[in-house]
Amino acid sequence: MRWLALAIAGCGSEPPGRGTIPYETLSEYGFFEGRMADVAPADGVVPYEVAASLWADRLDKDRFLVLPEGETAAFDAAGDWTWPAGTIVIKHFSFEGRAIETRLLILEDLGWAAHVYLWDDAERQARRLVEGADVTVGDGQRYLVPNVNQCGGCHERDDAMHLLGPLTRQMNREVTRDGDVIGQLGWLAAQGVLGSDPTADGLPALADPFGDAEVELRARSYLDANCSHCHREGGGGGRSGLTLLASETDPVSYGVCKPPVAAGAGAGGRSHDIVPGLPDESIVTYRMASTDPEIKMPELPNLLSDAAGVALIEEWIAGMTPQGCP
Amino acid sequence: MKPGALLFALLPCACGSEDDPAALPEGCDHAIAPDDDVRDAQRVLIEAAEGETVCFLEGTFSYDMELSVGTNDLSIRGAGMVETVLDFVAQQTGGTGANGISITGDRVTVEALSIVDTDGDGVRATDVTDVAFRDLSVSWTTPADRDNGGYGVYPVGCTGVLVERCAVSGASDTGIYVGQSTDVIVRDNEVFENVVGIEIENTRDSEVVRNRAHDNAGGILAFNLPNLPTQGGARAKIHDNEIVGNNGRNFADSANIVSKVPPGTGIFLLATDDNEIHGNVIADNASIGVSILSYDPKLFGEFTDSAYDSYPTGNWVHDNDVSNNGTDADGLVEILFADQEPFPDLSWDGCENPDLDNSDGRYTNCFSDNGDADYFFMDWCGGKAAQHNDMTDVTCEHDPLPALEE
Repeated sequence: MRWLALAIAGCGSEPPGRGTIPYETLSEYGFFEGRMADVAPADGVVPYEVAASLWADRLDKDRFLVLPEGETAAFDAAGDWTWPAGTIVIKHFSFEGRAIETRLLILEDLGWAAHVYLWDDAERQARRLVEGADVTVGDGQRYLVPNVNQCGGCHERDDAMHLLGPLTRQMNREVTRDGDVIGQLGWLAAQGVLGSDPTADGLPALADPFGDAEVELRARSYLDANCSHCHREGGGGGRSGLTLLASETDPVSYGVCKPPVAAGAGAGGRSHDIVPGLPDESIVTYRMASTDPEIKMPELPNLLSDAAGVALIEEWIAGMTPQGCP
Repeated sequence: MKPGALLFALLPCACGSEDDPAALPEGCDHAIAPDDDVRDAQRVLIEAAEGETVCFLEGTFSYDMELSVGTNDLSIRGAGMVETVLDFVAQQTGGTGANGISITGDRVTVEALSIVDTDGDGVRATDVTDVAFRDLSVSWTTPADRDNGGYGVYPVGCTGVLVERCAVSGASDTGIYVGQSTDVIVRDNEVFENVVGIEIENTRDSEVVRNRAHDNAGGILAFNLPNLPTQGGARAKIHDNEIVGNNGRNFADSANIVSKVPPGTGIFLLATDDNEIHGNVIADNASIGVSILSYDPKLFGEFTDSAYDSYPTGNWVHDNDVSNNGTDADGLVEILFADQEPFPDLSWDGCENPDLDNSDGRYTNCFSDNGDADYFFMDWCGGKAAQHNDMTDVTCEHDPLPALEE
């Protein structure tokens, strides 16, 4: 990855997009070998997988890490890992095999900067855009590509941009590599992303929301992946007092019998975020199932509700012992 | 704002280069015209550099998605609240953002334009420093509709808020709402036909002055609520406002706390401390002129917040012009004041924190020099056995709060 001697600076009087990050086109980075839309990683581009994925209107995602040559990330069990300047995190979105958009987070001196590249219809090139786009995918499904401000809607917390996927609880899972099922943390160490293998008992781990773990763990994992970037202290939804991190242990804080405060019409006449045993009376499922902009959760940028996710949360709430919320 | 976004600000403005200097009104670095696509407008707002002014020209802008502002030190300006109208009636699809303008940059100013029919809030600022809203109109076309957006002007978690000369009507929750913020000035606004005109919630050190609140269900509220990250709402100086005829319907969603506000409420202090209410005209509010209540979970919902102080203390209501309130009470007031008719202008529920030593009177809620306004001690926590109308115990004064406006 020789090009990663990143000269990060403003363009000055130079024409934009030549020789400086962010490039105007995705191909300039050289992330992928062969036909670019197949996203086959080039040397030094390391794929990773998360335990619980963020719903993205039925699009599929491929994820990659690119670290400056010879550098590693510093592992942290509970908090953000520490990444070397110049690290690039890639999330590639496709629908039924067609490349739609590719998002980058690039670690600059001042923090992570978000860039969005929209693929052309021929899937030959993706061009940087800041203002977002309203596109059609597959058989006429409308899909919103976020503007770069909206990237902060999920990634910004306490005035700084954060990664949401490469975290211990998301990365601490098994992956299949060369036909073997192995722990991803150890594999990342073997790839040189981590300096040493941090694998240990007791590290946080989310469950696959649609796997075979017990329902509470899957539900809490789903909410962590889809909601906790905002619904936590310092996040955009933190002001509501609803904390949806899987590590939250206070039931009221994660919604059980918690009344809404400033939900506006979002409450739908329901009285508490989660009413044990009664998903149809819980605000959480009402908002997850809605596509009305004032009601729906998450706020951005999905157009479709995740029916499987709603069903999971309904199953979890329905299985709680009814206690009545005072 | 995220530090990384600074890069955008440093990029050469090849971005805004299509701006025709001849078309730029004075003081504007970028201009957005009514026929520009909403995404072009958004791109200008993203690419504008810190310290610049983005101007919306005269005309009606029909937008179907939220505009966001993440850059610090940006000014956004219209040609006037009549001349420049951002119309969000087409904003009906989830995922595009529910609000009109959503701000996450510090020291952002929005002024001189109208925002109409947003699905969510008109203008919103989250966790920023020194945000200013000036000469804005935020309204919804359908009166008293539960489906209207919740809030007209909504700064939350901010340090340094100025809301001035704005007009807000039709909000299904609150016209001007300031939540979990500090150092707040709300002045010279007109709020009407909302569920609540102005609410100061879990906020410290605010001044609410020279506003006109009329025809809302509730005029001006200072609330301190449980289960919110910022606690200790206190020190709102609410003075020289006109709070008249707030007898509108309460059309809020039943789950929202403001749905409990009785139609016909002038000023309502809930579990908030050391506020000063003075020099206001409080008239013709059919339920109650000024009400000071503790947070009773039976009335307002249970809470589990151990840091929460549910008792209002140290408030001072003085030198107000209070008249003709309580003529036809509604909602909670009827519950609380069951046998009072006509209902009094001023009231306190009488609930006191048994753990506080109030021997020096610092925690007393005082009422003084409010003309011939009548008063009611509800004895709500004492079982109503000692309800009375004698003001002797609460005729007292506290130190005045300093004015915050220059």
